[in-house]
Amino acid sequence: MDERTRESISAFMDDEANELEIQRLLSKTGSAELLDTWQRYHKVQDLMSGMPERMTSIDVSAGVAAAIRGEVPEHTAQQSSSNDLHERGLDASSTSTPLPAKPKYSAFRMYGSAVAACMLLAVGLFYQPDSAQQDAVNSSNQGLVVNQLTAEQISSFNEYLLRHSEQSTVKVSSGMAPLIRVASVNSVGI
Amino acid sequence: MNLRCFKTIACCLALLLVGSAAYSDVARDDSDAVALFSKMQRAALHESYRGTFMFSRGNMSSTMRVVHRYHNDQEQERLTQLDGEMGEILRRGSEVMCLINGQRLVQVDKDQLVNPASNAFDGYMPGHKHYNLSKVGYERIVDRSSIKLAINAKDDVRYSYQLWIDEQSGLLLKSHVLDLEGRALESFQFTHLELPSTTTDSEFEFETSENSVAHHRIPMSRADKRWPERLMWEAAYIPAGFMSVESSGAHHNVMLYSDGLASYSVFVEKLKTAALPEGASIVGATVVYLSKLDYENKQYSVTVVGEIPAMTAMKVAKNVRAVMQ
Repeated sequence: MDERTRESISAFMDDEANELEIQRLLSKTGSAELLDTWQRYHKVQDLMSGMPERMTSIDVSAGVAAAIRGEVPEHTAQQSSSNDLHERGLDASSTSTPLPAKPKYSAFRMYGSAVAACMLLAVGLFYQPDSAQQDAVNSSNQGLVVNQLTAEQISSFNEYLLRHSEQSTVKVSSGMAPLIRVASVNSVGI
Repeated sequence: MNLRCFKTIACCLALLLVGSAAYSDVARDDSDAVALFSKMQRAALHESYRGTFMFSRGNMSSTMRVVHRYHNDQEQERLTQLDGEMGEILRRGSEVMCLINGQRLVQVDKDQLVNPASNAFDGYMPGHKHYNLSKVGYERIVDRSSIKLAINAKDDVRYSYQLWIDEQSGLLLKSHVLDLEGRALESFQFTHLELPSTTTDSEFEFETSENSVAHHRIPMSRADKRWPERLMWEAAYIPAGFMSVESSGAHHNVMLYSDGLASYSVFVEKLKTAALPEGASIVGATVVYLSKLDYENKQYSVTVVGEIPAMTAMKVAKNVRAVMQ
């Protein structure tokens, strides 16, 4: 899948996709790779936000296409029965999970921030921060929030680390230490 | 002059002499330590070496192989992870590539960030105002004589370091990054080291052809193309002793600061790209601090990444400002 399509998915999930991006996605709804990516992005987002997985099997593409053409009045999912979904072109046959209560398109909005960045990198292991170090930071610094990272988040952490190491290696000339830091986290997902 | 007065003056003179001798030793130690540090910086750039080393950070440790040379006015380096998943990093000058499992090539796309002026930073020494440098003694590391150098932070906005530097070549043989309580956050140590007179080109190439693997490019700058042209970003707080190395991107939304030892980057991005939770995420000596910023009814993410204490990173992140130019 090309980068532009990934960006379009990401924008769509953030409710920021323009019509061209939406049409680009809709033109590829037959693509198993796109659907797989779409579902994985939502799974990751669910994990990150602590939500239970939902609607990963719902194919809303026909409904969205119809909505773009102006054929469907705005509904909220709570007002819709399973039959309503079928009438709107939403195939919920493979799941019993109802659509969330959102206006059109924004069934995706609740998933918030894009996860395209963290999906760039595969994840090998679940990372558990050093608890002693974390306790030390927590006890000595009031107001500072220290996160426990999930596997997906450590992947994103590593991406930031790579970007920082790249420019500090080249610009600061402080030896190989920045690259060692990147190399040492390969096993947890760069 | 009576005897008592004479004794008092003699004592004062003796104290002065002892004091000045001690001061002279401190000053010489300090200047020796600075010279040693400079030697290490030069060696890191120009020496050819190959070896294996251990690197630990947080609760992770790994063994890696390294080969390095300065060739055709360019620093070249290849790092190979020897434990767990196969990972390699190849550096040729300013080009850095990561090859994962011989299958995926990850590279940062920084074309838009070319800034020749930033090279002026080379060779910068950490200021004495913010670190105490001192030679601690001699130790044998990887069968070589090394000088232990202590670099202690004078404040709490940066970490301290212990460096073991090869007496002959100036190469760094072992190091610790210490937190504010003196605990090691990150450790590095060679377990085998060679200083070859020649190296071959093939040592600085991946065994897998770069053309036969999947490429992933990570953009260095993720400014939103819908940002107003006049929108620029600036750091209103820079910790004492740090200086700006680079401020790049169309909106100055990628910044790099260093005090000569530690460095940190600041990335201002559209919020949706933020895949980390707000607050500090820490691995070893590296912190990634993410903060959300509201400006004119839009939300942005400010991410500070570097080898600095989490509190310093938080203060930097919370003081990034938008400026309309």
